[in-house]
Amino acid sequence: MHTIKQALITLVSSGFLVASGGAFAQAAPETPAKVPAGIKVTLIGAKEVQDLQAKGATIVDTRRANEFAEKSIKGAISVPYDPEKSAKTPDGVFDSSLDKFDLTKFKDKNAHLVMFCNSGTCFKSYKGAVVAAKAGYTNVYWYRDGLPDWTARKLPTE
Amino acid sequence: MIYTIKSPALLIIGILMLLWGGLNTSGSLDGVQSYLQKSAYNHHMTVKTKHEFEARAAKDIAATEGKPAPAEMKMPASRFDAAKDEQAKIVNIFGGTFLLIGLFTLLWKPKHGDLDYFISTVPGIAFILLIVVVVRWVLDPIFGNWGGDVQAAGILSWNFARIFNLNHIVLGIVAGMVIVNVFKIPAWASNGVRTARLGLKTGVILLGTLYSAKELAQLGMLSVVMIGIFVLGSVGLVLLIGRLKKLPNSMTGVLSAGMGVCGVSAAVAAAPVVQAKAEEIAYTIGTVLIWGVGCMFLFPTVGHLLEMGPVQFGAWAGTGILNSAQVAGAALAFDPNGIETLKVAEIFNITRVLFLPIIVLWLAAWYMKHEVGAEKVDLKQVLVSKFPLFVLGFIGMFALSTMGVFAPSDHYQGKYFSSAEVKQDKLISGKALRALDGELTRLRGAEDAPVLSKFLLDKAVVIKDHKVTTEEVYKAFGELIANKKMMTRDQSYILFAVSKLEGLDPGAKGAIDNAKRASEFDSPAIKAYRDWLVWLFGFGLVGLGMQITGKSLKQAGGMPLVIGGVVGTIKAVGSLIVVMLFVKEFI
Repeated sequence: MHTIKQALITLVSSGFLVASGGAFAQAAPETPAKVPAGIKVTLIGAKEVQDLQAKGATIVDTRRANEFAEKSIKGAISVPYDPEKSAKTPDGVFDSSLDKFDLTKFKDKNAHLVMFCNSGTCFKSYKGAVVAAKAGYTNVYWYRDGLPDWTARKLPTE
Repeated sequence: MIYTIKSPALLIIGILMLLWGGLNTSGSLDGVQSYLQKSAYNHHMTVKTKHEFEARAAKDIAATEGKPAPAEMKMPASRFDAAKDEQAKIVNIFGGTFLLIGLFTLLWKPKHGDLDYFISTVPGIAFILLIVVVVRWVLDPIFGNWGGDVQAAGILSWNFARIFNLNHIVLGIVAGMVIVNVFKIPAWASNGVRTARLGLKTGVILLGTLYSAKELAQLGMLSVVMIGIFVLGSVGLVLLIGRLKKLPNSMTGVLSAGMGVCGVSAAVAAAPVVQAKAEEIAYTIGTVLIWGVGCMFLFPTVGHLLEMGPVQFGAWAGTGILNSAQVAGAALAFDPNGIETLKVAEIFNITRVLFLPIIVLWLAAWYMKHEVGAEKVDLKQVLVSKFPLFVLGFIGMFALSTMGVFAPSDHYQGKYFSSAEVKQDKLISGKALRALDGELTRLRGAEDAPVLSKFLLDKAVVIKDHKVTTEEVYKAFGELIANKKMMTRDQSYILFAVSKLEGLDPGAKGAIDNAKRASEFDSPAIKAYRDWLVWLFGFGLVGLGMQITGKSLKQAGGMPLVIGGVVGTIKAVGSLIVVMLFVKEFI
């Protein structure tokens, strides 16, 4: 009797474990696919980044300093969005007062600024772009696919 | 007498473990695991994104060149895959073994002898291991996520799981306590559960492999001074109060050893010297246990609230807590994934145990003086037979480690520095070199040199007993630029300190961080030891929880408990004050 009870508990608990898999499944949130309405940030791809860079735009690596030192888009500068403590939500709402992003690196409010990071679940470039746009920078671009895409396309890195 | 009990429990534990392994391998548990192993899963997503981008870019490139679409590429393994494999490997080995022994037990007709005894311990060991696995792989991350979520949602401004140490160490001890007090340990497990103490002692012995003489030189004096004051002080205080309150000399003597040195084993060692009765030893052990259990849960919380570092907390726990097992429990509860706190705490713990001979001699002299008609006891024999063996094992392992048997002998905190082993692709590259060059020029300039000089003074950047000068920083920079990697540990230390300078170019800061990391290596032997250590301690501490029964706590009482409480509190608070005032963290 005791054995049957133990076996039953085993079965039920393992069944629960597998079933709960679906409930637990929650991938880390990805950045919004589009820039939320009302925010003046342009979403761009690798081709546009190259064109903008050729025209003298500033390419901004928002990842941590050591990530930048390891490998980045050739010609990019490092302005880490660090520390990043605000929430990562799929709708892109966040409280930038919890974070630090040094806008004093960009002197000219009309300069073309391209923000990028590690794409996918990396919110730093998105947040950096939104913070800059809200601070009055007029030509802010967001390279959402970021370094993984740049590297995959075998574009110049350093 | 036959010890083996016929029960399907071992077989079932084996099947459960194999089930966890199988479900992990098949991917059926990916949903659960993505929640339980958030950081590894994030890495998995990064690898996946990179893989998808590569596939997309390859297709785009092929399309522009008019070539056919490339064949599908296989996604490389992520840390998530590695973690699942690791879990599967561990449970498959143990689960398989338990399954076979479980089958064997059911079919075998046990005969009196060693085999019978060894087999009888296996179900209990499996029982504890199952608890350790569940606590470590399931409960620990659930509480960790929960604490983080509550904090992120703004319900609490602090992480309750972190402040209350709801990690696998504490949860394991609590699980042990709950099982023994609420459900009782099943008969089939009782023999094996007793082996838990062996796990703890083995853990402490193996910990000896993680020290080097250099580290000991830093901590040695501090631990001897602190332990000397507090151990001898609390022994003296118990003896004094005991005399004042007119407790029997034998009771006072054994309690002083218990409160002063290392709890249970000290009480047992001191007992023959002061001719203590069995119930006096039981009183002492009960008192030590009540006090120690309280400390084990309270210390880490206080440590987090005061934001103590590993050296500070280790010194405090090693001095203030009585029992070796509880010191390990508190240190691991404070910092469950790093070994640093545990290492410092155990140095203090071992130092304290090394005071045992002095205490025993003192008690012998004290007892002879105060007790009329005291019998003479063979001190040498008492010391040899009651000295905790694991301390000798620890010292032996430490000697081997210092000789460089497990890793280069200058390994520090389990890592060692090697310039020669820095990989080619980790050398500093063009952009970062330019950043370093720029910063070197800037820091040499009339405007920034005083800033650097002030920074070095303010942060007290010290090397080999002298303050680091700006010239040394320039030299360290120059050598990093010339060699593209760190050449010496001192250089690495200096530059790492300077990398914290406000306003330093992020590129240069990143280059220093990367170069430092590239020159530090984990010895594979040490790494394997570290992993096994956490398992051994986890195993031992669940078993420790199972010894904390209501009955054993009730053994304490009356005046011994009051004296123990007073002296224990004085020691804990006193050592906390000393630690906070005088112990500084090393960088």
